[in-house]
Amino acid sequence: MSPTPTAAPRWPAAVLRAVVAVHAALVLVQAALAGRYLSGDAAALTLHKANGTEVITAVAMVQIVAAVLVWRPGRGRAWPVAASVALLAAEVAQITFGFSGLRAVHVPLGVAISGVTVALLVGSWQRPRRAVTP
Amino acid sequence: MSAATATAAARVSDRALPFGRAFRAVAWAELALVFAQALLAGQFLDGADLVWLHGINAHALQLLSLGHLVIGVLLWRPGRGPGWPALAALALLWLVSLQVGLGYIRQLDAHVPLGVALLGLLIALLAGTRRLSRATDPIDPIDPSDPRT
Repeated sequence: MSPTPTAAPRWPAAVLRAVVAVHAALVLVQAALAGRYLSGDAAALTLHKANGTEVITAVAMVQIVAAVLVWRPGRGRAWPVAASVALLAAEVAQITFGFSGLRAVHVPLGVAISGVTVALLVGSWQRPRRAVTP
Repeated sequence: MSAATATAAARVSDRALPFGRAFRAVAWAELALVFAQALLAGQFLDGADLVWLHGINAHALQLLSLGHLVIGVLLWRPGRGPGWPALAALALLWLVSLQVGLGYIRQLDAHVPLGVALLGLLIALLAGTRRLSRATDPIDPIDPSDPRT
């Protein structure tokens, strides 16, 4: 397909930045709730479960849609799509490990999820590729 | 801009390069240790008696953060690189020390989220210092924010 003369829309990149920022904040909330639960606050575990199973997975799905829009029609990078899909898969696995009480996997996987989310947050602020004019 | 200024800029960059590379290598090592801390934390939450190793690793991370600060200062002078990585390394050293203290007093409601935040800060630091390890720093002819264009 030949490139069209119309400019690529910029709003998908802004939407992705916002969604990833919300995602990163929710992941940090998960860590805060886990810490509160380990300090003896039983109610924090209920919130940790609700935030993980209902809120974060929903945001992760919205993020995949936003990442696809950045790629097409936004003509941006494709790697955030792959990273967002991988993140959702990791989070679904993370929920399973959480409910089965396998903390030896749940804790490091949670930290790894935080790392990928921050990497996506940084990456979503990168300037888009431009057309190279020789 | 003149060719003389360009050469001067390149020379400064060459001076800073080994320090920039070392700074990033230490950041990667710190990231590995932080992740090891999470692995160990998960292990002893599952019942393994590994808190002592979590403590030793914490002090290793503290020492590494101190070395990071030294390299950050050397990057600034005599490396004539940017000064902010030294300040970031200082903040990191302070946060790691705070984290060690919070761990020893078992203040887990602050210790767990700060641990996760430390990992996030290291990733942001690695992303923000990518330029410092590049041998050539070519001028982007279409980048209006590049002061050399």
